[in-house]
Amino acid sequence: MDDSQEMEAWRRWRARCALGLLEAPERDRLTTVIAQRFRSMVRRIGGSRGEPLQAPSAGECAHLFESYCALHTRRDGKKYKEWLLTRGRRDLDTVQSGVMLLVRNVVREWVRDTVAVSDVREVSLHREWAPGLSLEQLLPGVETSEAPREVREWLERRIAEWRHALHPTEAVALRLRFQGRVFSDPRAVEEAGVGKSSLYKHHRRVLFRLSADLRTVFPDLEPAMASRVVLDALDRLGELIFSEKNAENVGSAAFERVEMPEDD
Amino acid sequence: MTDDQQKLDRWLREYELYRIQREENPVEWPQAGIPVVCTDEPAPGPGQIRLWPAGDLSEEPVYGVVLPAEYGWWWVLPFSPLAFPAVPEECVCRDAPPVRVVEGWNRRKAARSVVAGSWCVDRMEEAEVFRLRGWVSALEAEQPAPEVLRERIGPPLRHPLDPRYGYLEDETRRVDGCLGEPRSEYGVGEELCVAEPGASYGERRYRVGETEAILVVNVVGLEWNGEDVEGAGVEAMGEGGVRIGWRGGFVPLPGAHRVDWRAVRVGDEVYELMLMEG
Repeated sequence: MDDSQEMEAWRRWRARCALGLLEAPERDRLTTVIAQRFRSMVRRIGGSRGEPLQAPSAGECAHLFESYCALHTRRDGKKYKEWLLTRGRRDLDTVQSGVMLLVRNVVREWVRDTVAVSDVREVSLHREWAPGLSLEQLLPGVETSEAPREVREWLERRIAEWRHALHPTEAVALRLRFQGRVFSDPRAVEEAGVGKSSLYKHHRRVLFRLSADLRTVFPDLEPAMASRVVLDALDRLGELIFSEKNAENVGSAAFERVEMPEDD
Repeated sequence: MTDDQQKLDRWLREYELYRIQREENPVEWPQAGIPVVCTDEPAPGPGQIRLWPAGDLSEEPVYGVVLPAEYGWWWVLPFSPLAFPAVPEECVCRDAPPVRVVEGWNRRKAARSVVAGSWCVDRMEEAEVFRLRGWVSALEAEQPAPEVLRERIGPPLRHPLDPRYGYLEDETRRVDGCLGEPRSEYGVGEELCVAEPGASYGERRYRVGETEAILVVNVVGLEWNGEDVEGAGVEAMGEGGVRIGWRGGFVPLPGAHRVDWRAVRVGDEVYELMLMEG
């Protein structure tokens, strides 16, 4: 089957709703295209995990593709076919790259449903998910014991100094995070007056500064405890800045003026 | 291990797989797209799940659920490509792929034409829509998620080096590629006040950062809530080499007839705006 015939097969697949309703040569061709991509991705995932994974049969790959991509069995639930066949230049290369994009998601579902269930790797608080950062450091649990007294006292003394030394954008970033707001939120960007990348950069800068400060004074602190202390300090600073902003708003003349009805 | 740590562990495993897939199988962007017209689609309605045609720079399909916003606009809440919620502003709405987790943090207001230019693929049940509205209201009010949804939302984001920041960036870009960037990306400040006593209307010119570009802002009238609010609208264009994408004015907030501009974003760069004399 040449390229134009395959392209025609994809169009017929869109019109007829399911691979099973195509003539055998077309059905086999599209099944092969889907299965090749499915298996290639399964192979790579197996390689990255250091354990080969057994991909399903070609027919099963195609079945999973059609069932995972559709929202339901009615025709409107299969509009992903419209998406696939109207991408970019609408040629065979673009359709095939679109199939790859969809297959990524299908394979992830399959791996989670079939492989991960039997995956006996122990969930570990100490596994690193970012360079030098374990789950416990990323999100310290409530059960992590309290910081030593001298650390807490030192923290109390340092909070005001840190607050004083903050760059205005660092202060906004900390306040937004204290409020649980995502930097990509348009309103957060609006309030900050700078882009989200800048907010991320400043947020990280405070982290590095506080961490370095803590490490200098308490070099032997456990990493999970150090992380907890620094994250608590970031929260404390965020809370402090949040309170300051609230206090400012209460007495703001500009705020009162905006709220006043206009005189015509 | 706490519930939140378990949620994060589950999400991180999913994300690890997602990243491996993206790194191992990069897919070329389609480019040079022919405009897609979604014909015979139902008019936008609350709780519809819609699929947008691929943008020139988009990767995975962008699905979103739509809810009415004020004054003819629509909220679009995109769905995550992942099966689990990453942050507290993400919520599991359905159990089956391909649409499960709603990205509340990535919501944006879209004009009716943007919503109508998509395919309607499903409708949420009334109860689902009700629950979703409650959650969006909580997000808008910056309140915690309703108790009934606590199990369905993601774990808190605390550490500035958390890998989820990368995901949030990628997701913003993915959805921007289809729906366009949120209007308020362009920044606000305290340079220009309109619809306040003493504000001057007409053309204002701003120098854009250290560049040669000049942003021309023209304060115009805008109908607001059935009444003409003099001066509460802007038109803007860039001159001098920097192309500034402006997305058709703004929607003022009730009771706050004030527009402030201090910065403008061009691509990934943020430039300060400096009011020029005369």
